[in-house]
Amino acid sequence: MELDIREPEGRISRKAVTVWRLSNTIGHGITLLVFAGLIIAGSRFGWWDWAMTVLWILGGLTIVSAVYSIFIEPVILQRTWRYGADEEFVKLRHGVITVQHQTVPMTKVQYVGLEQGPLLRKYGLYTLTVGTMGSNHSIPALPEQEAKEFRNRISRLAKIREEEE
Amino acid sequence: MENRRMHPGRIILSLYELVKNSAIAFFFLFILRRGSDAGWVVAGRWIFIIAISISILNIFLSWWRTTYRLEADSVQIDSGVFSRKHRNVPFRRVQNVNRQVPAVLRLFGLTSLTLETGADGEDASVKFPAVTKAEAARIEKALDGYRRERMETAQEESGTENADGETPAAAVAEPFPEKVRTVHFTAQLKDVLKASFLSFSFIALIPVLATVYSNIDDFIDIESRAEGFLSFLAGSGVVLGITIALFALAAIAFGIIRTYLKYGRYEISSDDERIYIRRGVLTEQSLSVRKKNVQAVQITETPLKRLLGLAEAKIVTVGSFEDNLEDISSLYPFLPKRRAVELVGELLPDVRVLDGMERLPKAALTVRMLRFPWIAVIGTLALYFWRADFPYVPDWPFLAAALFAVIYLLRYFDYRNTRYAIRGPLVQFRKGGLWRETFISRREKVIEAAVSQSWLQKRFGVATVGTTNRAKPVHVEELKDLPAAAAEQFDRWYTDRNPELIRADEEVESWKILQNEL
Repeated sequence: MELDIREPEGRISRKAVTVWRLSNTIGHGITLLVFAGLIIAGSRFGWWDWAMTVLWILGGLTIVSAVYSIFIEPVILQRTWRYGADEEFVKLRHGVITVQHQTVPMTKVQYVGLEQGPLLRKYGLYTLTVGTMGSNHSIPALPEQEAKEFRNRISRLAKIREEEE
Repeated sequence: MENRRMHPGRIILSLYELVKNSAIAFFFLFILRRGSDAGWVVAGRWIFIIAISISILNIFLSWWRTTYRLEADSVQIDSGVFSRKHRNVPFRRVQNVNRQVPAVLRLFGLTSLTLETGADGEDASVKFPAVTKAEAARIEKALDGYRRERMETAQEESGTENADGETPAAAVAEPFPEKVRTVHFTAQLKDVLKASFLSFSFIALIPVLATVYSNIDDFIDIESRAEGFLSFLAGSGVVLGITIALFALAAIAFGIIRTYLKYGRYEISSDDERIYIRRGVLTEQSLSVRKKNVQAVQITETPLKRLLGLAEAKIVTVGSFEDNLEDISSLYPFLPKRRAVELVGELLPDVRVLDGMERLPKAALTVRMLRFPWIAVIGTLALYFWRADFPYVPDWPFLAAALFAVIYLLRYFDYRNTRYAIRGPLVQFRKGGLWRETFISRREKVIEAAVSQSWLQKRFGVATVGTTNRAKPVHVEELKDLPAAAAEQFDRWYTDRNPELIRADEEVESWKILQNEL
């Protein structure tokens, strides 16, 4: 049974799928290379059997996880991401296996920021971070225009309130 | 306003601390090794003397160079012997005020005063390490005066519109608070006795003895002397019995005295604006919190307390506390549950412990039983590979079975204990298998809300809700597996921040004095 909670409208960029695929490929590729190196070294120098077993298991898990996080996860995550802000709240919804709905009152927003790594820059995307007194939340992969508009909107809405004493 | 220094008692306090901290080094270098000419001992002595001289000089200079000034709406502090530091702390940032009066300060009729702010890091609080009581009162009064003024202006403005969601309309419209202090609780002798047994304080004698023993043992070889004494004890049953009885008596006496020193003269009082907690006999500690700054209330019941019908209510505030002050925000840890609940209502008129909370649905139990038991599985794997062989300890399959049994039993207990209520301006969660914890907060004090649903929860129509409150570190509460409908209600409760939706008289009706529910 799906939760009946009013969802925000905003969606993140389609290109997020490509970005996540690339970054997950790089990440998992490096991990796999490390395991491969260890396994080769291990069979060369005759490491303990149990260590080799553990390495093979971890390597296998990495492959399974790579298949999931390169081919499956990015598509669903992109499709399920929603964000939005009304006068009073910033709302976020995301998650593949566990769906999270987060609500942050404007009055509690301390800062908003944009970030851009090399991969995001290649595709002209930004990650927007909303920080509160307690934690911070990120909206990944927003197109430049939308990111800046949303940031300005939040900072405008959040600024008109006085800080809590 | 003129610049002031701390009371010169500050110097005495610092000197006392210096003596306390350097006593062991002094004892070692100048008494134990008094005849020694070894190079490192001689060097150590010189280093010691130089370090102490510098410290003493620094104590005087830093007292001389630290000044503060009370402005209408802030306190200004200048400090630093060579590199000067200026701090400006606006009163509106101050969340709580606490005082700590160690015995040394008491001798001089002085007190320390700390203003806690919500900020992070070293500037989180302003400490006046030694001021006279009159001066402390003056500082607190400046703080109060500022607040009063703010309230007056707020009252004038509130005639037009109350746009700020932060301030409950009722609090502003109320007649001006009169400073009448009501005492809600004072610890009697029986409370102290109860506290001393329930906190197992008599056991504390053992580590104290052990520390004393190992310290003495470094210098004098008591082990060989003790051996003779032990064989003497073993020789006679009567002597052994008397020794054990004496030891037990000493332990109990020690426990009572220790508890008395900490919890004796415990007093909880309040006026319209603030809550005051003070305790301690030799070292006096006190806390004053603005009622409006209380972020949440937490009621904890340990298994032993549950058995005896006791509970500990604690107020969650923003300020952080120094060492050995962390538990000051507790409203006496050994109160009968009913009294603790009443106390919360007396101290915080807009927070009440809700009666008649909802239980989790049956589906929640299924979900909980189906969750992968990580701890048990990892524990079992560890037991399997380790296969420890101790006398009297059963083999690993038995231990693993016991581990699984305990984990599933705790899940069941947790399911049985879990309750929730989302009503009016309040949210209340109760959870815990053996240790039971109840959390209550008002909507406007919750700074973030989250609802989540995992794949498994979706199958069974349940969800998880969570709140975040300001505190240091932030206080995060999470309640798992409540019905999807209740999670939706929780979301609406949080997002429909429309004051007129909740009528004040309706709220009052649904509160009842807590019975056996909690």
